[in-house]
Amino acid sequence: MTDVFGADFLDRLHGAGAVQNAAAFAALRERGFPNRRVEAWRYTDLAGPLAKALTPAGLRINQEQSGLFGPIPPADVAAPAQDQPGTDALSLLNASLAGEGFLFDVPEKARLKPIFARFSAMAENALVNAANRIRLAEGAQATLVERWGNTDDSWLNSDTDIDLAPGAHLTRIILVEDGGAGTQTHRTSPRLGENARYDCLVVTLGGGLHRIEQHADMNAPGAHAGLAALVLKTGSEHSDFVTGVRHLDADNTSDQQVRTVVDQQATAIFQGGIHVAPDSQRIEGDQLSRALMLSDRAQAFTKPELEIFADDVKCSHGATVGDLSEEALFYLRARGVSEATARALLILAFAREPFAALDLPEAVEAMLDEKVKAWLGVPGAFGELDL
Amino acid sequence: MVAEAETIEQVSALAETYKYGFVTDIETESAPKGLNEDIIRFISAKKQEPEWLLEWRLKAYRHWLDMPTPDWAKLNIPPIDYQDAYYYSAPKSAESRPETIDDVDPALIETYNKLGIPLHEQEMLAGVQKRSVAVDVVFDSVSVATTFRDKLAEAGVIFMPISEAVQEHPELVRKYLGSVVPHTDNYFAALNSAVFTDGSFVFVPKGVTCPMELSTYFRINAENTGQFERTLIVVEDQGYVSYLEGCTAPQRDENQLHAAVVELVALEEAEIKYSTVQNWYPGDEQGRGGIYNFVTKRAKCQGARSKVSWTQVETGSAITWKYPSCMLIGEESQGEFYSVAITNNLQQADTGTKMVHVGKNSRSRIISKGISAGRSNQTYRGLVKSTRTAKGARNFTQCDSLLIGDRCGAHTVPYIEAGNATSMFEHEATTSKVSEDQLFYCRQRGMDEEEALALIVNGFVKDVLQELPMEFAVEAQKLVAISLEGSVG
Repeated sequence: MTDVFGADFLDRLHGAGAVQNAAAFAALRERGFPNRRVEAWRYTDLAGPLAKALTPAGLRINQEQSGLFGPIPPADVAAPAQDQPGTDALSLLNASLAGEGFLFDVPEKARLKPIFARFSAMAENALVNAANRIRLAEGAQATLVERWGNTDDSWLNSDTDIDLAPGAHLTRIILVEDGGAGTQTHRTSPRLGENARYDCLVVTLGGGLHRIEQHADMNAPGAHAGLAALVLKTGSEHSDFVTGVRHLDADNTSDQQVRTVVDQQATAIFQGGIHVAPDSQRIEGDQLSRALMLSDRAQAFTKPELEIFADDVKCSHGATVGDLSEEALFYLRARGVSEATARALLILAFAREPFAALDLPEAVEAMLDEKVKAWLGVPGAFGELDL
Repeated sequence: MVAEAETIEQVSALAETYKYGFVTDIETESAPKGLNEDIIRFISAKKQEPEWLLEWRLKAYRHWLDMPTPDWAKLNIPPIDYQDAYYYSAPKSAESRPETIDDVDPALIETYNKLGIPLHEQEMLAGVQKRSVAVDVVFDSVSVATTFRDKLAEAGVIFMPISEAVQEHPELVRKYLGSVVPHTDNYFAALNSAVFTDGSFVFVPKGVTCPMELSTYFRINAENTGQFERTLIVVEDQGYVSYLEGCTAPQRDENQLHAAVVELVALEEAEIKYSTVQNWYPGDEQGRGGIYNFVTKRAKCQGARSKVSWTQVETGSAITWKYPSCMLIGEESQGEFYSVAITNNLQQADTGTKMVHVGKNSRSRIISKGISAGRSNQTYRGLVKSTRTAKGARNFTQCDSLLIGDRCGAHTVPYIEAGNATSMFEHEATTSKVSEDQLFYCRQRGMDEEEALALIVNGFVKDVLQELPMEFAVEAQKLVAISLEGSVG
């Protein structure tokens, strides 16, 4: 029984008496964690986080007061289908230990102001599992800004289950940020009803290992999913951004926009997926991934996949990997902009591209801009150009 | 409506007739059914091989026994009983290898005439302006004839069956065999290394431009035989060769296995152009029979400024599993991959390429056009990778899929792995169906739907077909139309 990947890690959890759902834990114990021979994990090795001595702890939620948003009551935690072989091991880990998370429940036709929430571990060097749930009733509109952060070696692992009723529109901004060498693994799987819309922007910064999975099930006509991401990685950071949009009914659309900047020895991965089921006709699915490599020791891997079983579809993907354009740099230099500023300016413009895919609240856009500028390490923003 | 129904009938009648589906009644000599070390010794002894080659085969076989069957491709492969096949089948008259073309069994000549392969040198030479093509013909397990050998020898080019090359040029074969695709490479390559029976060997010495196109025709004829050919092409500094490969098989209800290995080695400034028109029997409309085409093709662009170009037109086979690849080791070496794959009825294809950039400023280009019709499924699978040493590596990939009918599938699985900042990789892919507007436009001008579709599809694949040598381009164009018969209406 000890030969599954991560067996020691699981034994430690068991020993600590942390297990709350024995069936889910048994399923995980039997299967183990995915190693790199598993196709979906070919670029990411969980050995690092699994070797760390982490103590199970609760999730700290800091949020503005709202009657609609708060910690999830145990009865509302969605039970993952642990008997299905396809269930992700990390979701099983979550189900084994989670008793926490948030619930965001928006009633019919409500129009909400953006809600801001911050999530972190209750203890140091902790393993935090969160099962979250978002429900938007018919015609509801809401914007949720989530900030998930560690300052130490903690591991935040979450599943967010989202139900969007017909005509509902959810805009979600997820900032995944780590001060230390922590781990964050987050998975989201929204189900979209007729004419529902899900727009999500993920920004990931810092950390040891980040793996963010954004899935979407397009269950009805008229639905649209827009998945955008900005990945900024440096040092020896590792980011794996995964998407999987399943068009399970006809006449709906999806768009994926991923921008990646990698510096130093960092590794950034984008694994994208568009799946069109048989009989899901008149689908439009687009995907564009662009990676900017700033260092020769950096690595950028892209695997944009299309799986199409219907013929009346327009699906496309584009992917580029490269350095900043020499021509663009020359243009700016010829106009008296210093090399460093020119580079920063071009990277900033590149990093802002996914923001345009969403209708971001002004305060959020300003906050994200600050994050990008700080990451670029240009003091006082852009000096002579004062952006 | 009546006329339309008639057309459909005619078309489906046509679709049933795979042009190359005949069997030639030739006495063959086979090894006993099954696969074990004795069979491998038998094959080796038949070919009077040196000890080192037998050892190499046995090593590959023992390795193969321990390997799991690969299951990562988007293919539904029924379990294959490797013991229920003949691994060696030779036309009896080939026992004593023909000295000239006139010694070849007339029934074989008949076969190749049916296939439209010009075996007779005279015919070719008679056409004043016609370009000559040297042909090596592999029938089941052995090579039966190679034309123009003398003329090629004058130029210093070696073109002969690999089984003969083992005897006549053992130092060359030993040096390069398995140097690009080692016997441990993958399941089907290991199997091939153990039991390969024949194939072509080409050696172009330094500074020589091969004076004519070289061509091999492969045909599986005997029942229950697998075909395992091995092709090795080595081009020394500044040499050039263009090589064509065609394949057909008779119509049979059961599936036949074809697991070939092709190795190309290009030294400094050498150039190899490798073209394939693959038209193995694809099985019938119910998916009965057809060839399993599991092929490993790889080129090593070892020298600086060397260049390898793969062009493939894949219309046949029940299942295709094939990824012609380039290892771009030399500085400024170049790899190209142009592919048209067409699947109809219940065919399945998982095909693409790998471009591995190791050398500085190496460049690659991938153009892949996939067409799925009927209830078929097709996947483009490709890897573009640069190592840290491949400064300035450059790749452009375009893969487009066309869907005809609502029961088929088209999939794209590209892997793009950049290992340094100066790599520039671009990838674009689209999937769509034949536009109603285009069809309407053609129909309005009096074309029937089949013709209109063939025209539109030929336009879709034009970028690739124009990379083929002239003779093949014409054949490929016809093939495109034939393969899609019965897919509309």
